Amino acid sequence: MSGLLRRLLLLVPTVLGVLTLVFFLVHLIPGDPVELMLGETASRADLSKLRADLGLDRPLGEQYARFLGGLARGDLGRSFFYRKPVLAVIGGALPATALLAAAAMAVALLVALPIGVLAAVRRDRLTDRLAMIGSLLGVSMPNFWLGPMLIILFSFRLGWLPVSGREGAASLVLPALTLGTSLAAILARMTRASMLDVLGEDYLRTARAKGVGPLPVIARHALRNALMPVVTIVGLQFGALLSGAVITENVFAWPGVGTLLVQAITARDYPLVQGCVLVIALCYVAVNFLTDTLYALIDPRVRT
Amino acid sequence: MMRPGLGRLFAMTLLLPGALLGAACSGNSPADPGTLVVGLEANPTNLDPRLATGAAAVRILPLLFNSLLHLDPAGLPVPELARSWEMPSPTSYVFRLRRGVRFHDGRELTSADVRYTYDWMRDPRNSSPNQGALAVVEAVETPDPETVRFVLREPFASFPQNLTLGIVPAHLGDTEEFAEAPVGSGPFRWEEWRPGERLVVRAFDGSWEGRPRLDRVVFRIVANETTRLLEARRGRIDLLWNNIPPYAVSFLREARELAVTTRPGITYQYLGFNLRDDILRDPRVRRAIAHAVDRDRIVRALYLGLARPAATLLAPENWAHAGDVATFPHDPALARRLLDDSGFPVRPDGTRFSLSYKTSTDRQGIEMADLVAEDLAAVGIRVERRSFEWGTFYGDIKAGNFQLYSLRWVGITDPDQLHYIFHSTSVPPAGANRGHYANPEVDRLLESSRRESDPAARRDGLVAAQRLIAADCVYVSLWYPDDIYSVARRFEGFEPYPGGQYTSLKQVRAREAGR
Repeated sequence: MSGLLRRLLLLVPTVLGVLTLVFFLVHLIPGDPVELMLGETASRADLSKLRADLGLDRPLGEQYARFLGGLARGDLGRSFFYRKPVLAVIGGALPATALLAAAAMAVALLVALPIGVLAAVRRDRLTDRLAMIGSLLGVSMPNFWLGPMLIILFSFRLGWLPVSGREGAASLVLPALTLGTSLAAILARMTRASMLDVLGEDYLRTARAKGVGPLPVIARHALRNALMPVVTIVGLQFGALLSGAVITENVFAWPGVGTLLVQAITARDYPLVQGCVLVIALCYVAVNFLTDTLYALIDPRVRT
Repeated sequence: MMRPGLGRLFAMTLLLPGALLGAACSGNSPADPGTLVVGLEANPTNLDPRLATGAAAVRILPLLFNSLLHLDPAGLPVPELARSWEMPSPTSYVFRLRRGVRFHDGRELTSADVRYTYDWMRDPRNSSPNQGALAVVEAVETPDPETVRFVLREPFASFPQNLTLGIVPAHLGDTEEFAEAPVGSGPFRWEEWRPGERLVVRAFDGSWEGRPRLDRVVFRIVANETTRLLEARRGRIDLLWNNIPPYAVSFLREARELAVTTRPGITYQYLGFNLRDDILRDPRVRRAIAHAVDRDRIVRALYLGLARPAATLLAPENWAHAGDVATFPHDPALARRLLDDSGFPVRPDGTRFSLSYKTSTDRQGIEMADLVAEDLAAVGIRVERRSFEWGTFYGDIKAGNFQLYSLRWVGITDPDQLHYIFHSTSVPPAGANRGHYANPEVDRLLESSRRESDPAARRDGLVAAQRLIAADCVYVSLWYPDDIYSVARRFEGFEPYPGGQYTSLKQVRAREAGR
């Protein structure tokens, strides 16, 4: 348990490090939020007045200290552009991104695991070849291309699904497929490789010799041991799904955190940028922490 | 004992798409005849007319809020909440308000609300983006509930253009909820707002203009151009305006349910010079560049012909447009001669000099920069195209950190913009004279036009100023792209406003039966 605790404590400097980096990086980007807010007609006095109101006239070090102080109180500040608390703005977008990421992950797992296992069991046969060609295609298609292609086929030609937006379960299908495809391809390859390693092990021969049927051998004995590397990838990729959904969100007009972050950067909305990055970083480390914990459940040897 | 672990997995794999598709079919409900869906390319960030800056919000606000005046389709201010207005002196405007105008919550709109709205924007504590434009106001007075008097610090002929901002109810304007659930007196009232996703407004039964014919207007935010166009083709977006690229016109016209219209627009596209630059301060060099650019070729290639040539900021529809200014037709030979004369002969490497050309990451802007660079290369000017993300690009332009750049002026109806863009005191941040142009005669003409109350005399001054600006070649005037809009044929009555506002939705209605 102390191992988990240590990992938990390590999360704090990780998140702080990310936030510090982002804080200084966003302030380094050229462009002035105050000028963007007040528009071109603002006088010099108005500009410096607003700059002072927002605390942007202070030395960067002091602004950073204030930011950390606010963070300690759970206050991420107010968005310059929405003129609302950052947490409220992000709170509006987070469920959409979480839903999309979860759906994409579900699509990826449900497609990848069976295909990966099947490809390993039927190694070098037609099924395997097809599965591997398919997964190569899957990783090769970028989201900004795959998304519109799926729209043209399923929404435009066939008329089965909505083009974009967030109305009902139907509108989740294409974005989840788009976001989940490359992940499914990676996971399928990973599962296949991992299964091939395990399938050659002695204990499986023993299990078969004891009269265990082929399906239970695969499901209970082989797959469980083959899942370790797959879980690692799933953990790493889930964080990437949360932050990497930007393009998919854009193609499908899906109002999530990725879209919000891009908007915030364009508007030089520093508090909102920091808030979005904080949320993404927290999700990332939380998922990875869960992955580590999951190892312990799958493989008793990891419990330290 | 066989446990169907793997089998279950396979079954789920097959079932998932099926289940999702099943859900899909239930989601496609037929369009509600009284609801019109508008496709927006950007998210309106703030729906408070005192604070809104982005084009998306500014174009929607006239549906939710009334203003003292509004700009008609020709861009001229006409009374809205004001019944009438008069100018007892050059520095005073008196407005009589309509009676019986009610906010969406039922309260009556009075002069106190008008004063509250304008005083709030003038108060530096509120950092309103309109504060600068209202700096000319000395006081807002309300002698009685139906009368508002604006006292100006100095005469300002274009002042009525500033009175098109929405009036906010004094009893709600300071509440925290106001920006999210705005209450105005406009023909539609706020119903739902999911930022980044959709804004829904519903017909206001108590509107003094009469209830709109539409029941609801849904503004859907679809940032991706391809997605937006596909949604329109599929009939899920009824109105696209301000955001249809020329290449998409024929694509949308393939859909019989859509009426796609193109008409002359007033957006002004130009190439800006830095007049403090050692090379570009010579007007002969600027004229040479203007003669080198082949506008026809670029309009054909980029706009598929959907633009008309421009020679001055104000489009021909504007009452102050100058029709007889200097133009610079495509003439590479003349351009070369001008460059030779101004001391920039061709060097052994085949070029005369290099210029950097800044543009944003907008695709059309980049393509245009490349075409201009080809034209300039033909006369010996090497152009280095540099494209930046919008905030960086805009910051550089305002800071005067450029040699050449291209941008556009959108929805210019007020000729006083000439002062804002070309007067020598309008250097940023005071105005948008980013190239640091200074011509005392132009300054004098623009100043006197502000004080001139006789429209004919004012027009003469503005026309003379435009002639000088064109002759000095402060900008290379390029073209006015056409307005393109697409409306579902089941609706009628849509009329485009020059500023891009969706104002005419209050008179749009569904056609009777047969779609």
